[in-house]
Amino acid sequence: MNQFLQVISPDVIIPLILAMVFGVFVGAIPGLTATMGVALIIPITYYMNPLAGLAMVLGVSFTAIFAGDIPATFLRIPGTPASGAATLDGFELSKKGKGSLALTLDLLCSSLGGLIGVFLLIMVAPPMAKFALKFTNFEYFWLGIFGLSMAAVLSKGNTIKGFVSAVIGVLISTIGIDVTTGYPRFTFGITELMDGVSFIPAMIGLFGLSEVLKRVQLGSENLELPAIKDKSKLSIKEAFSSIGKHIFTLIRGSFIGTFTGALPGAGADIAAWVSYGVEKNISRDKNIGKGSLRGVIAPTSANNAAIGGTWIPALVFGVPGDSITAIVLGAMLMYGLRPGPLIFTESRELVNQLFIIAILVQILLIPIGWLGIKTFSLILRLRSGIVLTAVVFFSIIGAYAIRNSFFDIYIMLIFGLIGYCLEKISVPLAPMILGLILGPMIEDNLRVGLIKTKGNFGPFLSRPISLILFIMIILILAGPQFFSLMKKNRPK
Amino acid sequence: MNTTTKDMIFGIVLVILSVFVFIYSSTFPEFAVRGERLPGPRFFPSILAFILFGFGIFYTVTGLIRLTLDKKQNRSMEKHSTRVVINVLFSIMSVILFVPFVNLIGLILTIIILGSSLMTLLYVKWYRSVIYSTILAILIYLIFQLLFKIPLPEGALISLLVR
Repeated sequence: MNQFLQVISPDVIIPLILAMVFGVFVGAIPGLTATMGVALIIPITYYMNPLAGLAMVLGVSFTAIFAGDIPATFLRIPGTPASGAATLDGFELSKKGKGSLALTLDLLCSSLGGLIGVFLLIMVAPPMAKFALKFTNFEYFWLGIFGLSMAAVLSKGNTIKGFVSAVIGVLISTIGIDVTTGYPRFTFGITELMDGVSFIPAMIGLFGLSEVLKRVQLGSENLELPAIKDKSKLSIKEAFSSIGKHIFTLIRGSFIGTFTGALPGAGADIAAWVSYGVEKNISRDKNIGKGSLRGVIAPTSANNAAIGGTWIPALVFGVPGDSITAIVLGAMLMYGLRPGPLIFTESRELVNQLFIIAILVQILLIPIGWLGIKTFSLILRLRSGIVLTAVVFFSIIGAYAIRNSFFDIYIMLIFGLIGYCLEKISVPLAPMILGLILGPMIEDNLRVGLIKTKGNFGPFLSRPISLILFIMIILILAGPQFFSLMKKNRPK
Repeated sequence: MNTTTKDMIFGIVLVILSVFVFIYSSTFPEFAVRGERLPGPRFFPSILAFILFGFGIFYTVTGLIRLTLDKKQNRSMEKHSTRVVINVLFSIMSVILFVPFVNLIGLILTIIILGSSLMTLLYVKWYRSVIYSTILAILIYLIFQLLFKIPLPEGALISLLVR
């Protein structure tokens, strides 16, 4: 009860609501992603107590993922990558004059899907954490590699580039004082680099500034956003009756979303596509893709449920499920919290409060999302030039605010340029963040493991859990190639 | 630039990066305890350099092969108008110029000047740019300086004038 009262205190609830409003803004503007929203809000949360800070992060991520469906439905432009699948049927319904029904469905399914995701997180995470206590350096090393492999494989057909991106991230993580020997690596005499590359400025650069640079390339016409076409009324009653008819689609989507989200490197966008694909395959509804309600329910319930899923590996193993949780893990370390199985015993109260906040966010999502839909036309009236300039200055101040350091502004700029260049050659950026986060975990556990065994790599493969993880990595990396080869060689 | 050329450049950059990391990390000291050599500071970066070198060679060689095999491939160049290049450059410049500007004239004036210039460049009418960048400057000041008490530089020139 005391934990619940702490959560609903004004110190936590007001920042949470403000963060959710910000989430609507970030999600509804095409080009601004939920990851960017979280990266921009972390510097603000840095000066708050960890609970309020994490509440804001949770609020932004859930709300932005939902709000991404708003332009997806009305304009055929996904507000966030996670809304890609929702675009298909949502926009078709919009064309039929049912855009508002589609959006009300989006809102309710996001909230219900998110709720299911959070309940699964609450049920799955604590027992998994008990199991994770059996992990030693050897297992954590493979777990880190597993996280990187998943990120690479799920890099939308860019497996090799995804892997290279992850390796570059790991390499960047080696900058700074070597923990074992105290020797400064790749610092080039720059004092500010002794602590390593500041994580938040790097994130802001990769996701905020690089996106701005990408978008300012568009001509004046492309920088403009088209106007809303649908002006029909929002109907909760009709939406509830539609959900009732397709309740199994919602439950299926939420479960798929949670479990896809729990895979390191997957995340809300992949979860939405997987759920949409499954629905299309198993449903008899031939209207999917042409304005079917199932086509709206399946991805929108999955993408919000996936956020609950991404928190499972993040909290249990300290391995981020996607780029958002990667940033959150960095923030948790800044708050002095150490994600991993021990967090369930050392900071049990905080974990419980996080669960309460996550549930609260789903409930608050309905009124705030409702207002978001209503005010969307106002947000769209802002020209892209204004929004992009605001992102540039929030990025600058956000990077500076963490340590009051001008050096971090330049770090942010460098990462912005790196992100911009890498995206130009189709190198995904998310694996780089995972590399940055997982790098120290992989290196420390590899080196400590090798020191323990006096340089013998054998125990890395002979212990049962290590071996299982190793086999899983091989299957993940080689599986798709193997199946495509089998398919090619199959006699016709 | 077509994809093959981009990949080849990517490969060459990776090779250069990995060679640099390999050579630079070889200057890191050895880690030995009681005469026994253990994985020291150079151990992990060297492994990463080796992996990146492999990928670099892969992209360079496959790029070269593709270029030789298909000389007639579509050399569609990404044409950027001068305006687009200016947009990108000014966005970068506004970050670079921020530090000297903020030290000289303080946060609010910096955001108004750089912000309205950037907005105008991004096709917002100049008077609207000034209004919106002023709102933005005040908003940022309220959030960071007043709410979170982050000391933002007030600017040498401004403090001189105030005194």
